This record gives sequence, structure tokens and C-alpha cells, in this order.
Amino acid sequence: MGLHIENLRKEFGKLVAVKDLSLKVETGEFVSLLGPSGCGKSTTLNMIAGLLYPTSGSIFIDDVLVNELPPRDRKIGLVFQNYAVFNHMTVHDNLAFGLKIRKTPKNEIDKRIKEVAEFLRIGDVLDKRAGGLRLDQLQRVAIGRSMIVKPSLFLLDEPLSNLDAALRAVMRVELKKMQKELKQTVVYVTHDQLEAMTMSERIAVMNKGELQQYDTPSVIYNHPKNQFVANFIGSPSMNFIDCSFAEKDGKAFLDAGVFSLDITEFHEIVKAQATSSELILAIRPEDVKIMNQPSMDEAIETSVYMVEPIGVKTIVTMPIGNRMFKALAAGGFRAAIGDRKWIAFQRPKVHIIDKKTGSVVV
Amino acid sequence: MNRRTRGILVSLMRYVAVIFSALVAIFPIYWMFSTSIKLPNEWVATPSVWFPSRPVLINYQFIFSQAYEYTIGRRPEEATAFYSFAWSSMKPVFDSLILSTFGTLIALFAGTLSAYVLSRYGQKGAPPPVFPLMYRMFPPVAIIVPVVIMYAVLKLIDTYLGIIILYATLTVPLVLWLMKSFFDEIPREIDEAAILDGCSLFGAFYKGVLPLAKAGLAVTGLFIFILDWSDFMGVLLLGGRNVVTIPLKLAEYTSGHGELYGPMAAMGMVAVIPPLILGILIQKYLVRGFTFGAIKG
Repeated sequence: MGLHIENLRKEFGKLVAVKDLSLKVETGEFVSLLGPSGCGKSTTLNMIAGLLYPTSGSIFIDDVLVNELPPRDRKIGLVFQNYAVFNHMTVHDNLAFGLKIRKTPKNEIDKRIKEVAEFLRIGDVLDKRAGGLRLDQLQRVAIGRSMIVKPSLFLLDEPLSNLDAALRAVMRVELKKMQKELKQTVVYVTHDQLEAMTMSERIAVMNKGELQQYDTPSVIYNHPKNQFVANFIGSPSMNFIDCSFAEKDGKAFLDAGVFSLDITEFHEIVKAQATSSELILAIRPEDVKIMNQPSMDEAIETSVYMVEPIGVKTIVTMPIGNRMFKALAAGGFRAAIGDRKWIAFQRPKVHIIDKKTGSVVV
Repeated sequence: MNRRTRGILVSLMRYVAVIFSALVAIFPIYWMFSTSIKLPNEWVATPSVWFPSRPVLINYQFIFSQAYEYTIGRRPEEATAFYSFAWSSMKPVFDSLILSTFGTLIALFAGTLSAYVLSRYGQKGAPPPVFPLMYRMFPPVAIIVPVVIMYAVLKLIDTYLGIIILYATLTVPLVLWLMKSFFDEIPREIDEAAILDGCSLFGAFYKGVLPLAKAGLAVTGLFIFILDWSDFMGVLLLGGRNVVTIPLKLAEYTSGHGELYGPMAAMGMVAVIPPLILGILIQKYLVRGFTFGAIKG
């Protein structure tokens, strides 16, 4: 059931847009395809929708192989980034469009339009031309038009990116609620990690046509599989410091030049998995502690380069070696530029990445 | 001079400039109109007669009666006896209407379909199709000779079909280019949404995209209609006896017996009417069509 993709591949000439992607979405699950632009997420969506034909691989919707099926027989609904609502028709006619083409009886069409309009709260604009609607109403019409044909799979292509920040937050909640109420299977394409993190049950992070990691938001956030995922998820993004692996007196260290970190507890894992001694220490800004005194053994001395209060938190930028390092302090944190500070890492949150392969070792 | 007076002066100058350019644009039309109601002695009088001393309708009566046939060598005012309306005198108007209408419709039909195909299914990044525009690069005289020969062989000379085909083929490339730019402005997602809803490829074009390109279609149609409407050389070489359009009739008023400026102007006034009506009919699309691309959404 749900959506099942096997070794899906799409080539445009020499360019491989999607590289052997395999993915399973359970019925009623909300899955996001997340990645930077050009990572192949929209191409994947278009192949699921039937607007593009895959070079190889297979797509199953509700256990039916749909590779050769035209879009309308795939039982899908697709909401576009720019809505693609027919401006020249009224909202009512927009909603009725798909049903009319499918030759649904008139009373059934009216019944469904009533349901959908009520559900999406667009009942009052049914007779207006779509061209004159507000963006969020347009968004609802676009969703309604896909919803009305009762698709078993709902595809959304960056549906919120044209809205302003406040409206986006509202629609995010509404979309999620809608999905829960209808127990709708959803594949949601976005480059906005916030949308992906807040709405999805699972996230498929993609880059350069390849699936990087497919897991729940919390696993993706706390246990990224490789440097790309670690870097892409989280804002401000993770800190990376080039280190080399050193052993001394039976202990293991990460030597970053200006400091070294005792990683004896991971000694065996690192030794077994790292392909070379070049490693990257990675840590999220919120897992960095800023101190006024070197109260811990491993505190690293630095100075404040920039302070950016963002309300609940304060982003503090400090140089370490020749790289800038970001830490997330409490909202009330105050410091002058140039102040001497010491920082320490929260040990369980430290990740070690193999520089050559990019995969996370610890 | 303070800011207030300067502001007034600037807007005054602006008005003067606008009124002046409006006068420049309107003057030829005024001249044609006034000539059409002038008596023959005032047509080309020196000094020029700016306002007809006694407005008359004889020039209109002249072109819509058979008087012309009888007055070669005489002045139209001498032929009052023959000034009764004759349907046959309307032939140039009807011919012009028939040729321009069908020429425009065929060009719009073929050009719009090909424009859509080029806009949607053309290779991305491929150079725009200049080929169809190429024969518009020649001066029309250069291609008309082979066309005359071809038409002679195909027995299309002096037939409505022949001239409609000529108009349609000459204007199809323009339709193609204009409409392609309109279609390019319409997001592909409109087609895709229609296809997802179960439309065929043609259905997506016809129900989804075409209604959105209505403004473009209207403007293109008007443009092509005016082109066809004002064609002279085509009918001159390919028509003449059986097919007589307004421009051709106009030329007839220049004869060895003098130039009949009054009837010419009257015919000119008549020739203005159909494009004008067409323009008013599609007025609501015109502004949108002319500014298409400048404003989005």
C-alpha cells in the first residue's frame, strides 16, 4: 500500500537527475523530499505524478505498477508551487474541472464541491473568479482541486513557498491537520527544512539525485548519516572543524591544531571505520557551551566575533583557529565584541565525520 | 520661481507636449475626413482649405454608386443623375472583409497551434525558430513573382482562395512568434494540472492555456487583420477582376483623367471602420495584450 519506489532513475541526456532512488511511503504517512534546488526532488515528484517518464526503475501506487499509466489513472493529486489554478474560471469551476473530465454525475460534483469548500473554508468565494483571490485562498483552491478527486496519494510541490512567512506558518499547521484528519498519504517536496521537520513523519534528504538519508525528523537531526545531511539540516548550521586522528599513551585524540579533544571512548569505532586519519569534528551550535571562565578541562579559549540576538536564542560567532564557529546561547546572553570566552562541547552530541567519504563515524 | 509654480509649469509643458503629439497623430485622419466632405475644387487648392467651405456627401455618394463608370473624364459633381446606391459598389468592402477575415482566422488557427507546440515541446535551450520568419525578411516583391507563377499554374489567380492562402501563409510566422511569447509567459504547470485532471494534450491547450492567452490572441488577431486589410501588392498582382479590395479600388481613383482625392478620402474613411470596430470589440483585451510580459500575474 502507499507509495513504493524501486531503483528509480531519470537521465536528461548526460545529466542524471535522479540516481537509483528507492523509497517506501506507508499509507497515511506524511513524507517530505528535502534537498537543495537541483537535487532531483521535483523530478522525482513529477515521475510519481506521471508528468515525466523514468529512465528506469518502477513506481507502485497502492501496489499497482503505474510506470505506464497516464497521470489521471494514477489516483494522485498534485498541488503546484504556483498553484496552477485556472484564473479564467470561477472557484466552483476550478473545483469541478477534474470531476467533469472524469464524467462524474452532476449531483455528485455538487456534493463534493460543497464538502471540499467547507473543509477548506472557501465556501464564500465559490462564485468568484480565481484570478482575483488572495494567495492563501488560491492555495486552498489548488489543494481543493487536487483533493476533490479523492486521490490515494497527495503530492505537494513546494506549496507554501509563494506565501509570506506568517501565512506560511498558518498553512503549515492547517495542511498538517488536514492530512491527519483525512489520514492522507502525502509526499511533500520542499527545500525548507523547517517545513520538512515540522510536518513530516519521515524525511527523505536528497542531494545531487541521490537519497542521503530517509528517517524520522528527530533521527535526521540528531543522527545525520553524512556530512551533507549534518550540514543541510539545522539552522544555524552545524560547525565543522578539520582534525586529525592522533593516538598517545593508549588514548585517542582529535587534533584540531588549536585544541585537541579526547575521544578515547570512540577509539575502536573510529579506528575500525575511518578510512584515513583526516576527520571532521561536527557539533551543532546549541550543543556548544559558552563560559566566562575555563571551568572545564577541555574548554577552548576564544573571543566573541559577533552576537546576533534572535529572541529566544542568541547566535554567537567566535573564531577557532582560522574558522568561524557558531554557538547558540540563551536569549538573554549579552557580550561585547572582543570579549574573552571559553567554549566546551557537550560530549554526547559531538559527531566525528570521515573527511574522505563524508560519512558520519560517530 | 518657487516649487509650486515650477510644478505647475512642468505639468503645463507636459500637457502641451501630449496635446501636440496627439494633434500630429490625428491630423492625417482629420485631413482625410475633411477631404472626404470637400467639393472637388477644394481637394488640392492652394492655399490649402483647412475647413470645407460647404460640407458635402457627394464623395460618399460617388463611391457607393455606379457614377464612377459614367464620369470618367468628368467631375463627380456633374454626375448627380447617377448617384443612386448600387450594391455592386460595395464589392471592394465585402471582398476586403472576406479576404482579411478568413486570412486572419486561418493564420491564427495554424499559427497558434504551432506556437503552442514550439512553446511547450520545443527543445529547451534550442535557438528560437527563425526559419518561419525568414521569408518575411525578403522584400515582398522578391517573393511575389514566383508566387504569381505558381498561382498561374495552380489556377489560383484572381480567386478568393488564392489570396486567402497568400494572406494566411504570409502572416502565419508573425502569429507564431507573437503567440509563442504569450504562451511562454503561461506556466507549464497549467498544462500539467489539466493533464493530471484527465485532459488530453489538446484538452490542456484548449481548456487550460488558450483561455489565458485570450488577450494575446485578440491583439495578434487585430494586428494580422490590419496587415491583411491594408495589403495592396498581393491583390494588385493576384487579383483585379474577380477580387477587388479597398486598397485596389483606391488605386482606381487615380486615373489618367486626374486624381479623385475626394472619393479616395471617402473610401479611406470607410476602410477605417472595420478595424476600428474590431478594436473596440476587443478593447478590454488590448491593454492587457500590449502590456503582456511587462506585468506578471
